Amino acid sequence: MRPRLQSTNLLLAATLTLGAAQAQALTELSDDSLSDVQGAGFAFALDNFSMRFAPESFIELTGAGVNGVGWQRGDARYYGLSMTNGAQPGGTDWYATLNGGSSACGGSSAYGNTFLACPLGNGNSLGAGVTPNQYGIGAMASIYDPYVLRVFDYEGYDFQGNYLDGSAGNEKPTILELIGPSQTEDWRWSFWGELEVDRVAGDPSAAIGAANCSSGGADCADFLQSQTIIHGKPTTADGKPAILRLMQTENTADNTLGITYQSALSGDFRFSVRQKDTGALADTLHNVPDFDDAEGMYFKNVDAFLPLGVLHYQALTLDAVRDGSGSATGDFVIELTRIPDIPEVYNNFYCGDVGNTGDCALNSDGSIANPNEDTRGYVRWGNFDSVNIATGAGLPSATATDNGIYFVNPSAATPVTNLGVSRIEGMRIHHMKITTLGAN
Amino acid sequence: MTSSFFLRMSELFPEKAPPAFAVLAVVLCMHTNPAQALEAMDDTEMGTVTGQKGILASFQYYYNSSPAEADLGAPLSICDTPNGGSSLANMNCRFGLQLKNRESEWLVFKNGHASIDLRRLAIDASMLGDSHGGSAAYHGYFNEAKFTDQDGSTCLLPSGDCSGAAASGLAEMPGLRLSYPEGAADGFEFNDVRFGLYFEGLAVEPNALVPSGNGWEGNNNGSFMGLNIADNNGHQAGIAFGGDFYLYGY
Repeated sequence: MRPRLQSTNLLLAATLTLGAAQAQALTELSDDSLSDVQGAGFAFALDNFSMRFAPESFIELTGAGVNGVGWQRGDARYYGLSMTNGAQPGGTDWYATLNGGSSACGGSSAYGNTFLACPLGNGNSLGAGVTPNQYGIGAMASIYDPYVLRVFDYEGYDFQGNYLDGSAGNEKPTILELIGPSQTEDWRWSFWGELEVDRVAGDPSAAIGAANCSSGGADCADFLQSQTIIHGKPTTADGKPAILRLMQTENTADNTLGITYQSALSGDFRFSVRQKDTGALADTLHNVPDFDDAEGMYFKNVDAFLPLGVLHYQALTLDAVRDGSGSATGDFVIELTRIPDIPEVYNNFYCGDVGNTGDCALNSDGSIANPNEDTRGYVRWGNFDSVNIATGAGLPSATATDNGIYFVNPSAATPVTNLGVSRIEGMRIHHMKITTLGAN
Repeated sequence: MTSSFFLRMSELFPEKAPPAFAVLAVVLCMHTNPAQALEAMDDTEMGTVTGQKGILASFQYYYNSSPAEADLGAPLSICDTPNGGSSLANMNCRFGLQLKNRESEWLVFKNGHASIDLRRLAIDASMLGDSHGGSAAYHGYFNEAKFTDQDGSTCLLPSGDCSGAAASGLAEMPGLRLSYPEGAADGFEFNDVRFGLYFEGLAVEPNALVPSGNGWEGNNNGSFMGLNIADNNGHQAGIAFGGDFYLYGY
């Protein structure tokens, strides 16, 4: 018992000393101390876990007063962000959470919305895990495949074309990484959004309860309320996790904070706007809507993998927009840096080649024989496994709800319209720049 | 900047509660010298724990905002009422960020305030195997790569064996467990964490346009966006957490 208690004591003490950081400034770790890094780290297991913002609590991005002709101020609110159970179909919605009511929402096989009718899953067994939680995602991150936060190092080319493999003069840079699980149980990620245009602060049209101008009326506001529901996992269908890495860029021309992010997502997605509540508060500014259970745009069997950045020659960096004299003008830039124009780096980016050993051989049709899967992104809306691309056999029918992209309008004679499956393959980003506008 | 920091800890131990764990309230004011903070408890103190329960902790932090119950998280009077113009120049409620190799400018968060209120978070020790995801049904989730060294072969777990879930010994390891066991027992469903964050404007301000050379004092570039995390009925968003969060190391 004693050794276990000692470990427990240490862990408790460690947590309580986290607040003591105020007294001591963070000091930079030297390369000497970092060279002993072995990969040990923190692991976070999320068990039976859920997070729910209140239906009326939001994250809002507010726009600025605009100067250009044709531009209007935009404000976006994300209400009720939630991560809840996705293994059981039972659920509820924000309207019922706020106002009560037992029959909040329910799915139907006719629309393929068994898990997409209700944005908040509450069917988790109360006997699971240690702390009962009906909204819980059972093994959101199991102890066997947890979120890992650790310091690590990897081999790779730098911005100058040097291969960093740990040999003298080519030390591997140290990076901080957060790795998500590769296997997890399904979860539901949802929020209801409100996009408002041309808000006039302080005016009655900006107050809670303002009517929607689409319905006419005095003191009305221009806005659209919608809900977004994802039923899936933060991994690709074949088990690639999401990974966030922070480092100092290995770029002698610009040594700054660098970020690489590997985005992975799979599952089903629904976006909808129709509201079923016809009461006085329906479709009024900031009031919680009662969304329809079935209407919307559905994406089934989505599988998305998007690697942003490569160790160690491409990273997301932050910079300011500058005028001719180099002075910042107010806006900032998020840039995925350009792939260095160096043959060894290109061959590594496309084929995973190291030292020009010939991995970039081509097939007879001109395609790369051994493409680098770590840098090749894709987005698939629909499962292509059973589809014969040449003949079209296996494609979803015009009213199918188990695959592909489809719209649902419960009031129509034919409620379901399926557009088919779609995909983008072989996506590699050489350079990307996002610039904000609006300052000054 | 004005901030205040409240920490309340209560314990769930039975009769033999040692003095070190008595209910205590600590109020710290961090105007100019944020030197006082949580202090580590040593093994001797913690070794006298006899119960198997953990602790409940509540934590409040108010940054340029008011902890008064009447209007939790409201901005203090030293911040300006937002007007999209002169209020962006307020010097009392400003936060600046500077990145390496970008030392000629600052990313400035203007006319802002924030608050966070964690209510009755349970901090406990637990065996990892008690979790739902630690049962035998999830042995197939075992991810060897996460527990091995850079060489790919040295297992970093105490057991030294990363060949599989059962052999790893993870289920027998202790971990720190955070949870909100009381749920909505206080009558409020979304009261586990109250979090408010507001800044009216955000812009990059260069050092060159400010007489003092401190770009974070400048207001030459207005704003390109603002952020507000709140609720329709107040300045703080309410968040409910359920289940368990395990923290362990290796």
